[in-house]
Amino acid sequence: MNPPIAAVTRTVLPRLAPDEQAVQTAFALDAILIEVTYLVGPALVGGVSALVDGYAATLLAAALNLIGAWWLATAPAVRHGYRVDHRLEPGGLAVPPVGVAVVPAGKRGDGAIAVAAAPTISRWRRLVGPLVSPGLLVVLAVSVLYAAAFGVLEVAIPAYMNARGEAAVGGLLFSVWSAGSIVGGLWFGGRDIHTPLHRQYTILMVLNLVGFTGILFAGGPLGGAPLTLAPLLFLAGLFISPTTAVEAALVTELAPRSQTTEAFTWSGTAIYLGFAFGSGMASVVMSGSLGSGGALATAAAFAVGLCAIGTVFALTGRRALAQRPVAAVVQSDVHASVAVPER
Amino acid sequence: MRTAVTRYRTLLVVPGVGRVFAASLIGRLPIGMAMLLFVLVVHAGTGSYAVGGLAGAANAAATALFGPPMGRLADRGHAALVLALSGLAQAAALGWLVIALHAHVAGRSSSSSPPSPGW
Repeated sequence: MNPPIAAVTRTVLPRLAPDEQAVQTAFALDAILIEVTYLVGPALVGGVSALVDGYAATLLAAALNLIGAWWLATAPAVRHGYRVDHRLEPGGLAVPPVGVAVVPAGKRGDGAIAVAAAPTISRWRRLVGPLVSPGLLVVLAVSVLYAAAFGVLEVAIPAYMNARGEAAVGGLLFSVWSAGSIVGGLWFGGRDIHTPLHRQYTILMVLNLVGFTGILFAGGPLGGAPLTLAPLLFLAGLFISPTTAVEAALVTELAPRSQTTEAFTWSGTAIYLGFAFGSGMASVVMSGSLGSGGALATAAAFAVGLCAIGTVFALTGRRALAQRPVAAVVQSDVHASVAVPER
Repeated sequence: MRTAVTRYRTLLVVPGVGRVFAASLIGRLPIGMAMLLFVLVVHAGTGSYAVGGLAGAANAAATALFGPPMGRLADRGHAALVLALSGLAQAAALGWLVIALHAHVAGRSSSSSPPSPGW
């Protein structure tokens, strides 16, 4: 059970960022961080296992877990980041407190407040939390499919290289893939982008589709040699971190502000589920022809298919993705009483 | 290029941002270590790759399952507590895994059941 470090990080980062652009940069850096953990993590395990033993590597992981979680827990940003919810900001209610619906400024002048009585919020809505947002459900569905595409290839590529007798190359190919993602993320984090988030999401999904198709070609018509696979994996990698960053920005926009962390943990759950499904399917998809480029191409074709469905979801769900939360849901009775002082 | 550098600088000079990133990187490294770790260590302890894979899967499943409740608690103002306790729990689970595997290896000649995968 990993601590919800990613979810907390993504909740507090936009609250620290001075402006919208900085939020984009922050989420790009966060996405890059993920790639770094996947590059450095296995290397640490390999290094410590070789120098001492596997138990030492396990204890190192335990120590890093504790240090990271505690250091984040005691960070001022985390202690104060969650208080924002009950603070009035210049220009009206910047943050909708629980139980109160805020009509965006412009629609009704200065951002008038409509007070919703706490009891009207159904038990069901309270139970599902941020999942009431249709846009968030679209993001989660796309995430499941996107993660499944990675799940397939994360099994297929090492299995294929292993069958070719080049097991070590499999690890190198992953590094190239991650390197592409880091480069793409760094580029994305420094760009001025004015395209609406939901359109960025769709465009990136299409680019991912192109990237996966490249891997399909490398495995199929191009013969599956590591040297043709590597540059195409790098290209496909370019879009990973930007997609992760835009996804985080969408979750921030779509989830009620008082439920951001939970929304991010759901996104994590969606990714775990998709990844598990994809890696489980890999062995089914590839059975019989493990060593040939055809096996890799079949797995890549499966990944392309999953990514294509995800792209369609993002496209058809674009209206939901463009929506902003109108009302926050009551979290607890204590907060509800804080939220309706006007009555 | 210059604007890109400015963008990163604008973010990173904000007080508190550096610490969040640094803590987050350290705390998330174990996620990158997990799968290889479970496969290597549990295999070394039990002689089975399947049990290693199972341990990794169990860890992922527990994270997927307990993530949202922990997120909800964090949103209710208990983020620090959730992080501290779950960090402690995960570290304890990994420590327990080491002890269990150690004991298992030591007593393998006698009949002992394989340790259940920890999360």
